[in-house]
Amino acid sequence: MTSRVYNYLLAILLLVTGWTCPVHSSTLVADLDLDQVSITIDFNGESLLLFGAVSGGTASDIIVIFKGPDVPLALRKKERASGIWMNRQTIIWQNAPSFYHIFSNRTLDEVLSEEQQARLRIGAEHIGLRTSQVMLDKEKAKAWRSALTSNMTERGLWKLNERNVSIIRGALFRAPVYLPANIVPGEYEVRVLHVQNNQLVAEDTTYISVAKTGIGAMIYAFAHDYSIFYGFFAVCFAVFAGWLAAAAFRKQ
Amino acid sequence: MYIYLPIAEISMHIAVVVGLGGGVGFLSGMFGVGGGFLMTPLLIFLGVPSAVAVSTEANQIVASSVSGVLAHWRRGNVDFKMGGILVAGGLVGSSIGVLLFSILRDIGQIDLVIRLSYVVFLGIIGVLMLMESVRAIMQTRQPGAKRGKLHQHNWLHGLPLKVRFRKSKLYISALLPFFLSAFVGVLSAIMGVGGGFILVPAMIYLLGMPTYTVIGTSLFQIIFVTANITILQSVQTQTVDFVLAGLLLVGAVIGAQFGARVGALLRGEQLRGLLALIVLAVCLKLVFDLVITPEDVFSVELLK
Repeated sequence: MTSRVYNYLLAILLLVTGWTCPVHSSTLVADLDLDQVSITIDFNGESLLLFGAVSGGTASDIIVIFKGPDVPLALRKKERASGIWMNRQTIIWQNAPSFYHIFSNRTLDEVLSEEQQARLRIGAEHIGLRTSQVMLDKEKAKAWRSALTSNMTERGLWKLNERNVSIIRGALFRAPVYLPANIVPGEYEVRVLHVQNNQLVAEDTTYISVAKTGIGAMIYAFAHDYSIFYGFFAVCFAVFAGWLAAAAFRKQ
Repeated sequence: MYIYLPIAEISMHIAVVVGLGGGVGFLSGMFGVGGGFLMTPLLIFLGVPSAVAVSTEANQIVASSVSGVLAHWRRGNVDFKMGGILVAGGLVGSSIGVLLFSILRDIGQIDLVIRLSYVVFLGIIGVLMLMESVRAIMQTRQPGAKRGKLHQHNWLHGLPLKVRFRKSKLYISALLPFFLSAFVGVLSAIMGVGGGFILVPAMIYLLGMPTYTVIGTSLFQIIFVTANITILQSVQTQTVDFVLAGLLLVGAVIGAQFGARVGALLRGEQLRGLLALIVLAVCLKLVFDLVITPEDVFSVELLK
């Protein structure tokens, strides 16, 4: 915890030193209170604090785009066939972000116009995605795209956190970030934008890695790198456990 | 306390996992069944990916079958000759089942096939058991009901490759147990069950084995079939979570002890009637899920 406070103080220091420099254009610096998120055996999500400062002007609006590694996603659609609901259509999205949270101090629409959001590629509907098949029907494409967004939102992986960034005295800002337990390990990109009058005036990008560590990571690596031995190990473990259970509860 | 299951890649409360094992273990101890047919759907319901649920349950069944077979072995109630033929068939069937499983998973139909298999087999077994136990309860009320022949002979007993099974007092074609076991092996791999609920009645009514060798011998088959599934799934899909299996087992072992004590208080036909009702309840729940309009017709899956 002390290192988190230390980081925060460092940001303020940077801000103060930045203030004395003869800069005219706005600059921005942001960081997280952790360098790495470890998925340990008792992992159940992680809370982070994003913080930063703006110099050379007053911070008007801050937008944070917290993005996880791209993964292929299959979106399936059920249809009723002879009385039962079954998957009948599938679309594969080849490069969808596994995590996509946006944070802002006001609603996104108040901060940026729709055209600007599209141009800066901010928002679930503006991410460039490749699909397994080209959908010519615009309405259908839109329905599938919004189904993707709502399904990822339901899993807590995509989210728009509006009014979640606090700006302090027009210079410092912070936002609480929650990474749920179902996140995908990898490199996460945090883009912080300073927006003024619908224009991007400064930005900073920082990264944080999410990695499996400890015994859980070892088991995962064992299962994937030496899968045949893992299989035999799992069977031996089960035979031993079964024998142990029988011995422990053998009728006297 | 939460535990992040390393293969399932989800976080679950430890009490939920052990409690689930305990609850299913209680029922399996009470009724003398494996409980895979309850555990696998419950794991899927709790958010464990279906592939992980099926493979992990196979791993857990290895343990529970080993612990179950030991007592039968000591009493000499395992027919190893019959067991050997069942294992041979079961290995072939479960290997085909694992292959089918990954094909179905790739085309996005595995959940449907798992559900449909449950509906069909739980439905059939549940209805048959319910009818049998109702008849038995009626019969105990009118004493003097006559006993039938040891087992019926039909065309199945005329198949070639006849083998004598001394322990089970049988002289039947080896093809019969082989193909029966192969069929159960396929189901075992797809449904994440030991398959005792099909194997045991089939061994009694189809093969005509005496009841005292059936349980031990079927457990013997189940050990090898589920071990085969565990190894094949480990190699092919890396979906065996032995941490999850271990935690479920802790609960199941303890739960089964209590279940067995409660079960001893009830009569056999009452127990079978009760089990039939549970089986039918699971079946109906699955039918319901398949038939009602889902809240969201779309579903997303992370491919890795």
